[in-house]
Parts: sequence; C-alpha cells; structure tokens
Amino acid sequence: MREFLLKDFHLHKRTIIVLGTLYPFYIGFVSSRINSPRLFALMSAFMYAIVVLILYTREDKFKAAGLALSLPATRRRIILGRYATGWLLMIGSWILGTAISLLWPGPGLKADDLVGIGAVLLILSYMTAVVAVFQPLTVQFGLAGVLVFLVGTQILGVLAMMFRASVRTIKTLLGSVGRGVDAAQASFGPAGAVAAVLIVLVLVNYLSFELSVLLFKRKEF
Amino acid sequence: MDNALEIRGLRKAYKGFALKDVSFTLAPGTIMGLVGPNGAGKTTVIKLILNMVRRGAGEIRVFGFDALAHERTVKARIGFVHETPVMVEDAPLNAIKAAVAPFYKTWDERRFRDLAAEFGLPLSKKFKALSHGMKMKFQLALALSHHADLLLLDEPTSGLDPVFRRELLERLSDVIQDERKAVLFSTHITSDLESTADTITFLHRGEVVFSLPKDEVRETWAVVKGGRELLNGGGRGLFKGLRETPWGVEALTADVPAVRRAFPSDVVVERASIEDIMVFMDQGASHA
Repeated sequence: MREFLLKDFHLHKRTIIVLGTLYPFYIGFVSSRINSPRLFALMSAFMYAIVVLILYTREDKFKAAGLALSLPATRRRIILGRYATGWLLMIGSWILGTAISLLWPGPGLKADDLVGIGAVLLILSYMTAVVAVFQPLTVQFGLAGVLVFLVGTQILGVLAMMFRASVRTIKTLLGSVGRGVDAAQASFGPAGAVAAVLIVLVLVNYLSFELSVLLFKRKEF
Repeated sequence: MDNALEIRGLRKAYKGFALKDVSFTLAPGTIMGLVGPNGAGKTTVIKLILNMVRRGAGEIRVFGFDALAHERTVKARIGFVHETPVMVEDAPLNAIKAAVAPFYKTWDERRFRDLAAEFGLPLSKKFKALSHGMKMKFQLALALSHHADLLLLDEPTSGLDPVFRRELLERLSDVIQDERKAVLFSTHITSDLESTADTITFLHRGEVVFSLPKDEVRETWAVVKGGRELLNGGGRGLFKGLRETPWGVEALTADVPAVRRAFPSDVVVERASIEDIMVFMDQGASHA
C-alpha cells in the first residue's frame, strides 16, 4: 500500500499541501464562530473529503488513470490505494484542523465538542457517509461524477428550502447519524459505543469499496 | 523456455469494430512489429495485454503467466510506452518518476539517471511542458529503468525526429541482446520494421493476416504486375488485393508458385514490402 500513498503524494504534492493546510485553517476559524457540534462535524467531514476528491478529479482531468493501470497492480489494489490515501488525507486534515480549532481563540466550540468520544465518532461517521457516496461516483463518472454530486447536493438543498417537509426529512437523516452515535453511547457505554460505531463504519466503507471495485473492473481506458 | 508473449483466440468487440480470434506468439530474444493501418486493432491488442480494456474472449500469457490471474507479476515484467502519454500533466518529471519507482522491486535509479542524462530530459520540468518526442523519451526511460523483460511500445516512433527514431530502434536491438527479453512494438511506419523487427504480425480490420519471421514474409508475399488478364479467370482468387494502373494491373499474393502456374507468361513478380502489403490489403476488400 505504501507505493500507492507515495504515488499520490508525489503526483499531487502541491495540491495536498495547499488544500490540506488551507481547509483545516478555515475549519479552525469556523469552530470559533459556531456552537453546533453536529453542524461543525458535518461541515468538516465534507471539507476534508473535498481535498481527497480533488486529487482524483485531477487524475481524471489529465486522463491519467491509464498510468496506474500500466503499473504492477490489480484493479482491486488500485481502488484499495484510493481509499487508503483518502482516509489518510482526511484523518491528517482532521487532526490538523482539530489542533487549529483548539488553539483558535473565540466563543465557539469547546474542547469536548472537538475531541470528545462523541465528537470523534460523529465526524468519522460523516466522513464515512461522504466517502461512501463520492468514491464510487468518481470511479464511475470521474470529474462529471463529482460535479453531479456537488450540484445534486445543492439542488437537494434548494429543494429542501422550498419544502419544509423535506427540510425535516434531511434534518432527520443527518440527525440520525448523530442520534445513532448517541444511542450507541447510551446502550453500550463509551467503549462499547466506539466498538459498535467503528464496526458499522468499517462495514459501510467496505461496501462502498466493493462497489467501487466492481465499477472500476468494468471500466475501459 | 516460455514464450515472452502468447496470445490465443483474443476477441474484443466495439461498436463498428471487432478483434477476431487474434493469436500470435513472441519468443524471448526477438523484436516483433505489430503492423497494420490505422484502426486495425494494434492499440487494442496492447491495451488488452495490460488489462486496460476487458477482453471478450481469449487467453494472454506473459512468460508463462496468465495476464489476468497473475496481473501484478506480469505487469512487473512489462515496460510500457503509450502512443498518447498518460501522466498527471502538471507534475514534474522527477515527481512522476518518484511516483512510479516504488511499484518496481527491480527499479534501478542509477540507470534512470543515466538514461535521463542521455536523453536530455529536464527532470524539474512539468510533463506538459515537454514536446511529444521528449514525452516519449521520458516514458522510454521509465520503461527501461526497471529492467522490463517485455517492452510494449505503442507507436513509439510517431512524432520523433529521425535521429532519435534511429537511436530508439538501435536501443531496442540492444535490449534483446541477452536473449531473455522481448519487444513488441506497434507501428504503421513500415521502414521501422524493415530495419529492426525479427517477426512481423500484420493486423487488418481486427484479424491477424500473418505472424511470421520477417524473412519468411519477404519470401512469401509478392506483388504481381501484368496486363488486364490478371483480372480474369480463376487466378484472381490468388490475390489479396489489386489495383489498376495506367500501365496495367498490380496485385498482391501470398502464393507465388500458384500465380506463376495460373499466369505462365507476361507477369512480373516482385518481392512485396510491408508497405505494399499494407496498401494492397487495405484496398483489397473493395477491389479484389
């Protein structure tokens, strides 16, 4: 797996350094201005996922996926490399963003909202939700897939604003992730909650990964 | 010793084009020219070897290993030069090299540095800033730096100046000197084949017309020149393609003795060049 991490780092070094620094700073600033841990977690997950997403849209833009296919790797390992790089980048950005948030002065979120078990599980859950959707989309549709995803979520947002019922539905859907984490903590205690949520997250990632592999195996270059 | 490359019954269908039961073998220590007009299926065959497109049917073995079942092992032994280089265009050459090298246990950094110096590659420049020829040189430097046993080159000489084209062809001859390595290169520049290839596989409209040692091609294929009598009688079936000229008729055949029997007099038989074969075969379907 090391070779895939090195490949992505060397090919996208500047993008990783610029976005991987800029976004955590922005998140740090936001953390000092808002007081909703749930909104903060959702926003952070989305921003960090975009860093990863941009890497693969760059490859798509240059039609460079053929390079990976000419290297000694199976298609399954290429996708595994994508998920590994993606998670490493998101976790790295998140750690940096959290450190900046803790140091950023302001009346916003408290330390427990950022690094408490509940907060950590919540952000991991949102990251998983975003990754589980956009990785198969980028594999199948490339840059177009990303645009579909971003435009699609914006249209959904506009529609939600138009229909109050939809707002409640989306709130319920997004809230269900948080409530799931809360329920797990209440039912299993802190340690049990961590285990239960992590098992679910690994399972969702695994299903998303298998879907991406299936789609990638069907692609021609 | 296993063949460097063995392809059996390879099929691939696209809308309006199909590879039909392509089969040929490439022995170690040889250079094979994969030749045919544009759209014959040369690039598709190379992409199938690399599993860049999905095959409809058939089997591909590289040094005895199934190319699908042992994809990693097989690709580790292949060096690939693409007709249209596919890289992250705004990455510098050094970064691309650093991205590719960890995938190969046999990567030879010193060899890469030597080749880069020899080819005059500006390693700090971005890939997109290079000319087509320099991009091809860079790809070739990558392919040669992990001591690939099988080089797959897709139209490597197109867009190269004559000096580097000759250098490249000489280098290919050097590669196979140890008798364990092999080279498959596709081209429609037939003069490249005349000087370098040991065997020639001729593809036409998705089918292998022949896959033979170069000398055998020279002995087998001929251009027959004569009057309009070539157009008449049962002998016409001996021709793969023909064309009418202001002076008579020229035709391509793979059976010279039969042509001599069918047209005992007034025909001239000349050895066919690869270019002759390509031109006549392309005209064959509409004129023969």
